Amino acid sequence: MCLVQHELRKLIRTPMIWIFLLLCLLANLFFICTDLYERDGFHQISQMVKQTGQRMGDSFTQILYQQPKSEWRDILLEATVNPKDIFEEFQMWQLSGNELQQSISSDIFERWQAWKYRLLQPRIKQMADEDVSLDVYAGVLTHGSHMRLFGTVLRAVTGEAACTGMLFMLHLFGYERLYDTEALLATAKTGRRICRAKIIAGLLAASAGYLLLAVSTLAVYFFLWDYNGLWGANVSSQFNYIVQGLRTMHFVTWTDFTVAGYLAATLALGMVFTLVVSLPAAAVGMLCRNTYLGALGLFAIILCSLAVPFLCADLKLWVCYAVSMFLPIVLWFQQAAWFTEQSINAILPWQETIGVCGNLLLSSGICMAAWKRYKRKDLS
Amino acid sequence: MNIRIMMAELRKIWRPGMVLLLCFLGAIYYYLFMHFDIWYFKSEMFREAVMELATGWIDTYGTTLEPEERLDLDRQNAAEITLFNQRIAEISEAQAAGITDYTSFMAFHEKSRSEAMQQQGKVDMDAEALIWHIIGRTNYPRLQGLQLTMERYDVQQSADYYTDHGIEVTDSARRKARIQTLSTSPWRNSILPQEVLENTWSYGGNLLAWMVLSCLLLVSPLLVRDRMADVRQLQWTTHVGRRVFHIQLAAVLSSACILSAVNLLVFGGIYLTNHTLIFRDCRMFSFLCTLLPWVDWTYGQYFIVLVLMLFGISIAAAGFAFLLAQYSSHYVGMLLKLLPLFAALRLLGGYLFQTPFFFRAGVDKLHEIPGLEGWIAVGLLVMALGLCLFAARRQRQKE
Repeated sequence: MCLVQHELRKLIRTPMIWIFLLLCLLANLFFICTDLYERDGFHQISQMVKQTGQRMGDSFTQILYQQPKSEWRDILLEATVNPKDIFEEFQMWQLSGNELQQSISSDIFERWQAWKYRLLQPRIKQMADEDVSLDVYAGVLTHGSHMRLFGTVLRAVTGEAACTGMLFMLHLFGYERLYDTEALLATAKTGRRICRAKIIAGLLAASAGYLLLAVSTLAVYFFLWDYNGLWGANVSSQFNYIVQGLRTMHFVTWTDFTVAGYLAATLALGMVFTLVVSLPAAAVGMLCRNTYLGALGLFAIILCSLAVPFLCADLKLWVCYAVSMFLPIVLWFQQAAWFTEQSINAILPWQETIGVCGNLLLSSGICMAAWKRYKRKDLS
Repeated sequence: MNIRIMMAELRKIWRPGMVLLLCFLGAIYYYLFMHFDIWYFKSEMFREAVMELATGWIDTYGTTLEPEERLDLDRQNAAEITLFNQRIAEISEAQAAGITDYTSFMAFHEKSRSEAMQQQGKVDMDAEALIWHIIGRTNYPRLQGLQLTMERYDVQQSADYYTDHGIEVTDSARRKARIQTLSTSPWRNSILPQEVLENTWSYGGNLLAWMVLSCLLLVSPLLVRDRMADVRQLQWTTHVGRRVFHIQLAAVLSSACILSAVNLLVFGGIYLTNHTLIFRDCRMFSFLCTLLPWVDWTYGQYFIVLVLMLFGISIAAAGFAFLLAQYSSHYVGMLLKLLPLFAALRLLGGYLFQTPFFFRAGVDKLHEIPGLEGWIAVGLLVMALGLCLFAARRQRQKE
């Protein structure tokens, strides 16, 4: 533990790390403050929904009528009068029968998708029985606000924390080379087992960095955007949707999520994601003598990972395309659609969760293998 | 002697491994972010049709379409409709659905669209498939491009069109004056499709990001490596003394110039396969373009200005990287500075290449400066070079 503390101190005492985190926070503030459109309307809707409750229906409409007259009250009334449960007469072709799905000609891929949609069918029925889509969420401003929070702000936080985690690991593993104490350390009692302390310290620092960024960013976000009336809303409201290609798809999650629950789940998975990408950086740090080359190597791997799904789609290798959807960078890109069925981007239920956990195991394995190699390597 | 040191510094920058890595990253980057602008521009059928029509008009009428030449478009339209009717007669599925000519096809198309709107976006997939089947096997994209062109031309011939539709109550005096000038401009009939400009901006923005990134990756390690090896004082003991910093600055800037030139040659050369330079003599103010320009250049002059902007911003990026690298004692510290620098330049580049030298939305004073984007690029370059020279001067005074 003492060693872990010493390793953490190396990071804490690097001023540039704090400056970098501050710049990340400023960038997040920039993203938040340059998208304040319809904030007044959002506040009004949130206040009204606090009075009416989330569930649309006769009592909802009656209470809404009693609210002070305003443009946004009228807009909300128009959108919520005579609500229909979209999942009652929901047909699976609305998810599976779109042009994207139909453009893929692969028997195996189609079988996987068909299996996924068979698993989704009971969930749709459950959503219909519970009238989940009758939650108003934020009315006509639902999609914009949901994408702003989960697609822009939280994805930025996750990406920044992932970069920070990787740089933390590279710094820790390059530290002794920087001060020419690597050989000296190797002769000490702990010797090369210092790597374990470095990995633990790096993961702790990456987690702390993620939490710091997430908490500070969300504090500003929720100060500017009033979510008081919306925490209990179901994210599968009929006003919420995802855009896939040129189509809009309903926001169908694999289990019921309120906004608060969805936020908590996204934050938790984001934290694990940060650890997933930090571990390969530790492996690179152990094996690569030059920290800069190691960083470039990681960047090249990330860029190649991004190219793989596009290449598979261009070459119509749909099985490879499906497998490439588990790559960390692709999971990060899909963050706005986490915990949903994700159309052609997923073949499994809870694919993002399985993907992140699977990548965590894989990253841990890579790290272990790198450590074994490092133990046998000569330092000079 | 200084040349020898300069060459040594250049060798430190241009390491074979780094060059290979940049080639590899450049190829991946092109595939991910720039290839679409080349492929989509040439393969998307509506865009292809507009380009074909515009290119044909350039060959026939020159860079402008005058009112007397506009009458030819009516004849061309009639000929295209006749061709459409001939082609649709050969499509059995269309005949079976009762679509025998252009009029019946447009009625069928319109009916399908309004039914979809009434049913909240639920499209009849069979009707949609038939429509796209017909579009793919006839000259419909060309016909639509032609009719849109005729409509735009006719609407914008009115002397008051720009003053009636282009001026908002909140517009500044400068903007209003420019719109007044444009409304009487002799170049309003220029044949420059908006698709050409949009494609140039999109490709240019992505190319700028790559040029900045490649310059940052190439030149940043130089000073950091020297600092890590603790050779700065040793370098001062050479005959060039503290001017070694100037030599390194010159090496960094010349490397950035070489790399930017190579990037422009390679990726610019690929871009030229889009044949957008066919419109090089066409004025930017065109009836085919809904945006209004601040300047009266031709597309060719505009293209050169954008290339110079790309070049200038890349050199500025290298200058900033050199500045930040001298304060970095290790690679991770350098990367922690480079990442925000790249992010900032990428965002700025995205803004600059949105609609450069054209009217932008928003009425704040910043958007009223004609050629603001050019001034920003020049300002960046001047700032970077100024700060680098200042840092070099400070080096000589340092203990």
